Amino acid sequence: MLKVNKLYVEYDGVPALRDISLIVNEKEIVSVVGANGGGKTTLLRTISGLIKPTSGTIEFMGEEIHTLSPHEICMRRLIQVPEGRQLFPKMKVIDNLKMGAYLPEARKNLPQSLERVYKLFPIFKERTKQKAALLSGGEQQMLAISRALMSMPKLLMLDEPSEGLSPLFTDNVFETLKILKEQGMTILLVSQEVERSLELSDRAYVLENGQIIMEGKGGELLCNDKVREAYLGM
Amino acid sequence: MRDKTNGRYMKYGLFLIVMFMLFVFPVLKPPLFFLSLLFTAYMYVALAESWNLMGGYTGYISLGHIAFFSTGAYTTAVFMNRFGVSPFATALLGGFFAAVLAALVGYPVLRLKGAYFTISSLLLAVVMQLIFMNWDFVGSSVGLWYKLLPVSIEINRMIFYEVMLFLATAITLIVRWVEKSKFGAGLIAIREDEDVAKTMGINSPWLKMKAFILGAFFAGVIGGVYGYYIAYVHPEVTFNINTSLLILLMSFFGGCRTWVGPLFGAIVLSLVNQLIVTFIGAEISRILYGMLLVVVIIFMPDGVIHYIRGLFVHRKIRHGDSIL
Repeated sequence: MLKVNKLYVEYDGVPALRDISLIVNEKEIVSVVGANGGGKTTLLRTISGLIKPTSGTIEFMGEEIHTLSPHEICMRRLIQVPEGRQLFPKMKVIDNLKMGAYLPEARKNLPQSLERVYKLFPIFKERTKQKAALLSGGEQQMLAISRALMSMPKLLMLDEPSEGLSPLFTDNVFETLKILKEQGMTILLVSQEVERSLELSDRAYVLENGQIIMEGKGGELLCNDKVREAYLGM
Repeated sequence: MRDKTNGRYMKYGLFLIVMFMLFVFPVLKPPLFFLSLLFTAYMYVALAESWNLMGGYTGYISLGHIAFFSTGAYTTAVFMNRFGVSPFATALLGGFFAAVLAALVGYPVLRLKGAYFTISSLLLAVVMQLIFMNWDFVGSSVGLWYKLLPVSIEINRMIFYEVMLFLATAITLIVRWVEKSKFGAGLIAIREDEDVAKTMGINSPWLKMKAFILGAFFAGVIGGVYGYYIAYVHPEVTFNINTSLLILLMSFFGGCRTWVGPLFGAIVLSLVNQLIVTFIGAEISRILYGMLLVVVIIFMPDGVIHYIRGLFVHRKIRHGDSIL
């Protein structure tokens, strides 16, 4: 479904990603794990079109998308949940959700999408008119995910969805991802929560200093000595 | 539910009554001073609303609005001087030229953000002023005069009063409509967070361009009428950078997040300014004006309208009503 081939990205001549290749198949959860500064966020921003690669290609549903602008990529329903739950804090919950359904196709489906979100997170049905900034951190993350769902994604990309959340909400986030997976959603997850992410994922890549140093099935990587030592402290 | 509909009819009714009263006001033969005062107020309402499309909704603070305004003024002046066409007929053309200018300038400049955008837009006004100062076809540093309407001064003022009232009303209604439309939602999303907006499929360069061009078009039309009103155009007068600043201050004063803000800000500030100057004195007026702005910016950073609404909401909560 998504095919990243030899992607090379630099900031002012300093390489941030070096020859990254990865694949996401349909109905799969793939995670990219690794330490801070490894290039995970850069990877997602490049796929979304917010950063242009120096070289390499990105293919989505058989079409090259790395030359497209962000809204065109969004129109192909490749949707990103940005890092740090960037909502529109001064807008109401319902308006944040509606912004997710900005594109014509998603807009037609607005009532169904809303229902789907309310089913997943009943709390938003009660708080439609509350300002997004007044939600708790965990709720804000849920809202960010919900907003992305309103765009009816074919592939959902999440950037550090559990960043800065309490353990309880971290559980919630991963629980939600599991439910979405059962509903048949394809997900590309970027996270520092190595253990949880690997458990959840079908496949995973380990990104370090802008390079993929390991890849494999989620469970396999979890048992890999190097991963355990470097990221899980075992 | 019924209350809500009744409330809406009340609002429409009130709106129509106020508009009707303003339209027939000149028939009462008020002193000319009041007509000019209100003309200026309406003009600032129209300018502040048109500026707000870009400056308020997307948060791209432009100081170049005066350039579009002047483009309109010069268009009508040149057409009258060279071809003898009435400015009322060419004001729309002035808007068109302003829109073209906005498109040409916007294409490179809208890629800039924050202070860089603001400074570039300011430079647009400064450079245009220099060009017009040295361009003989448009009168260079002498300026151009309009032929006055062949009517008495009272009728003259009355006509301009009605035209500007119409422009201010039309522009305010259009801006209000934009704010509530999908277009407006996109603009506001850009202000809140442009990158996030992009990832949600908002074509931000195109939306910004549309808002910039639409605002410039309005400014051009207003400028075309204003030039005729003061009956001459001159680079120093028409391209007065202070006007750009004044428009911005009015929007901020009222609150630039909604269409009500610039309307309120423009009316209050232009009336307060004029009335104090006339009845108390220019020095005092400057001091009061400045203090008013300082107070509003410190205590009501989102504008007076936002502050008043906030009071209203808090009172509701105190009385145990849910605001949700």
